[in-house]
Amino acid sequence: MNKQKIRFLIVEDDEMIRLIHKDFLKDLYPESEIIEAENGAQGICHYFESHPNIILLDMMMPIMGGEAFLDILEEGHNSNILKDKPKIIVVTAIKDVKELMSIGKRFAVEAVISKPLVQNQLKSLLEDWIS
Amino acid sequence: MKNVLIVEDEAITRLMYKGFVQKIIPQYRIYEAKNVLEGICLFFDKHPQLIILDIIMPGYSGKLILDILEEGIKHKIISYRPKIIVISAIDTVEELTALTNKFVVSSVMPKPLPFDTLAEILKLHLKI
Repeated sequence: MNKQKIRFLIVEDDEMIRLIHKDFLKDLYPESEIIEAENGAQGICHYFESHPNIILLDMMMPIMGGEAFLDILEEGHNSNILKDKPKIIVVTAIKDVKELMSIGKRFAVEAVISKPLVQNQLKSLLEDWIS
Repeated sequence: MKNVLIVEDEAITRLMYKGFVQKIIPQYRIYEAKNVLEGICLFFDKHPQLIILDIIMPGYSGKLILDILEEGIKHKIISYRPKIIVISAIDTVEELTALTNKFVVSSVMPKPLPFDTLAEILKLHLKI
């Protein structure tokens, strides 16, 4: 992935956390484009309209949660409507190990990180993908 | 190219709608989705002018696509508004009213569908 062309999508209902994610990404990759969504429904619209490369996804949100977001992508991929595969990092407060494991196995989910976000974890993940 | 999207879980009903749509608006290309998740992907991929949407389906309800479109249009992420005709066997007044109040919904039709009425509605919405 090329640093200049990276497009991030942050799907998170908490405005404060969105801001923290955004500042963090902007510091690491000042030339990237960062798109924000307050819930899964807005997130899915941005996903299809802007084709982000990397998505930070919260699971528990009003209107539409992260689960439905992943279900839509999975169905689109299975029925060959979706051509690209983004990299999804799930950032969640979920503590149940079984639930975390099942999220980790979902289509396009590259990592599951616990909330509050450990920024070093995210940083090392991104550094693996972005040159 | 003008497109129509049919979102309906029953193959036989889908086929029926398809035949009907073909007859009224033969110039439209028809896309079919067997569930709402596929419908959402096809909506963004094909940008249909018209969506014929079932509400009660296994898994996610047809309401999910309405929620997504409302959010997308309200926040100007989606730049156009398709006509949506909801076809539903829902018979409680509360649920019907809730559906009709969604601003993206153009019409709500009962199921089984009175085809003559649908023909009129299609002509009205698509101005044909």
